[in-house]
Amino acid sequence: MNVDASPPVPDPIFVLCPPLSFSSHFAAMLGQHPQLYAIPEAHLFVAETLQEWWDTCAKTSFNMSHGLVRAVSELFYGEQNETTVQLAHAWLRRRLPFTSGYIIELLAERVYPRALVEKSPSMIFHLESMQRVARMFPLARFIHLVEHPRRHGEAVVAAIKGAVAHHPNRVPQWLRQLVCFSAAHTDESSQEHVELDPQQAWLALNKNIGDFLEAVPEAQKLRVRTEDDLRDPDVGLASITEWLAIRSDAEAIDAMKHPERSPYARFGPEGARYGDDAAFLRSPSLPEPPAELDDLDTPFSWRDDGGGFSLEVRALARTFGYD
Amino acid sequence: MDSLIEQTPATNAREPASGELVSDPLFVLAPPRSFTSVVGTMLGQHPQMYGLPETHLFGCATMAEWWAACEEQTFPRAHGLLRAVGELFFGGQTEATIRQASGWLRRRSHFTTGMLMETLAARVRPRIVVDKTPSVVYRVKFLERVRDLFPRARYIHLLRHPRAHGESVMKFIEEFRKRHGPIPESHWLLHLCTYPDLSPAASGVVERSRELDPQKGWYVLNHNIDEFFKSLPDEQKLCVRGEDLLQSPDEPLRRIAEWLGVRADAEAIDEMKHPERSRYACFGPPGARYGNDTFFLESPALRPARAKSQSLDGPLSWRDDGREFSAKVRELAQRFGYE
Repeated sequence: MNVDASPPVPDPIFVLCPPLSFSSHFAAMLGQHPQLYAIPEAHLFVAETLQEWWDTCAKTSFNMSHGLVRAVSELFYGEQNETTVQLAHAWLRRRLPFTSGYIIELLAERVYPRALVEKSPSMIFHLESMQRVARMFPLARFIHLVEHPRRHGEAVVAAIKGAVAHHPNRVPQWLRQLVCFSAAHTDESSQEHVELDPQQAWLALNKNIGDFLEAVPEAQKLRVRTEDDLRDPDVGLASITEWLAIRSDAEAIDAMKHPERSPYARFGPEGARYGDDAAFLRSPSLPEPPAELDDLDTPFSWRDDGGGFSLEVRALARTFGYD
Repeated sequence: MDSLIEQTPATNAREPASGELVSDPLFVLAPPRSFTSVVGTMLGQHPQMYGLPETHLFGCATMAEWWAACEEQTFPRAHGLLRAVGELFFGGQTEATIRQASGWLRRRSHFTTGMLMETLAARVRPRIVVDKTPSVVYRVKFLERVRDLFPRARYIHLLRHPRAHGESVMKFIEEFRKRHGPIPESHWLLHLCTYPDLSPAASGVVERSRELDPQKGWYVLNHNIDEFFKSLPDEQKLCVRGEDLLQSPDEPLRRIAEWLGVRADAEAIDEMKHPERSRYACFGPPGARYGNDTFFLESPALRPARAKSQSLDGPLSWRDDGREFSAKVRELAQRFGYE
């Protein structure tokens, strides 16, 4: 009888944060730890089943499927090229009735004994998506990655300006939503002009995460400030590895300081080019730390009306330790 | 917190690969309150068998349906399967492993219930799984689902005298009221003794009888099994009177073991006389306390005294009008060998 067999693959580690919050670098850093493995953005938990995920991929204004296709190519077919991308597509098609959690379990089993790290920002837009993760992986660990709202706002504004410069009529919906967070801007086809106010998204999405984490046991959640990891990665990363109860020695920490060594830290082949933030794919090395501390009082650099952070944004930012 | 990493993979934790041969399970069929907990557990203690708690799988076609049914039920329907998955795939029954089991089952919402059972059977191979979920006898179509999914499965129709059965149901109702207060009308216990008539369709009738008379439930559910048995080859079915098995277990257990083609030596028979040694013969951890009859969980050892002889004649103790068993109940009971 097989009942004495050892415990199965551990539940994954999920990084929760709004898009453009350094999560690509952060997750890739975690994934370089010898006992962890980070996959690109799989976006699985927006759906209950892979069929629903597949249908959603067909409707979105960004390349939602690329991350999962790259992960399947790499993990089940040994590399990422045009042929393995085709094979990965077929592998996924054959599993369309599977639950999204079961697909993650298959990936986690494939990387065992390393623990899987997942970081799709799409799951934080709706409480239901995060609750689906917790339902399917009740012992999962969650890292809430926070960033100063000014730094985040500047990243969002830079991203939308870049997108408009390249394809003024094809700005992805998620990016438009980040710039002006509102339920009214969920229409994928709309390209109407919106006012730049990324603080709303920062507030709403971080509150979503906070609301979800309230129901998660203390031992399964950790908040990490991106700035701390950038300023002193040795200390910041060691505190995370200790929390995860994995190796914290110099060799392991040093490996984490090289996100560029991830097999996903570059553009993918034809048919699966992305799967991560384009800025990360272009420049995946550990970025320089911010030159100076951000503050909550100075007017926005991206607006000329002297506007600044709302009281609610300031209050939440202070709970994260920002001034 | 324990390390995530210092664990080795359970390479056989996944469902069986195509072509792997897993023995079709043994199903113990009976209405609730018919010794199924003790007998199912006894059989599961045989060194070549493995008894599960009540999985309640086959009332549903898929695990997604099973989850939905669990959320609607008036009893903790999920507990047995959570305990089994916790035990078999996560190394024990603790609050943490029950949570893991819940995630494992949620991730398998796309499985058919048969695939889930096959996964459990593969996990305990080469032992034969013993399933004893009374809910499967409420509809012939549930039983037919089992047959379609496991065409070589074996079935034991576990019988109990209708008088002892009725008295047991009424005692359980009384005990429930003492412990928990009024019983909701939709509760399975009331459902079992408020069948409007003796027709097979009575199980699905919404308008229940107002009088408590468990002989009707006894009849309809045993009749369901009886009808289902007509579709099975002889070598796959066996009728066993619970009273015989509990009063003098050696011979009936030997006969069952021989019929199943498993060891029938004294050591194997002796193992079966200790249901209390099962990992499920106790209350489970928070999140999965039950998964079996409460009385059995409180006192799981074999107690022959509770299987005393009864008669089909005489007034029914649960009625105050002096009425006796209906002719159809008597006829079916006599066919089962009761007097």
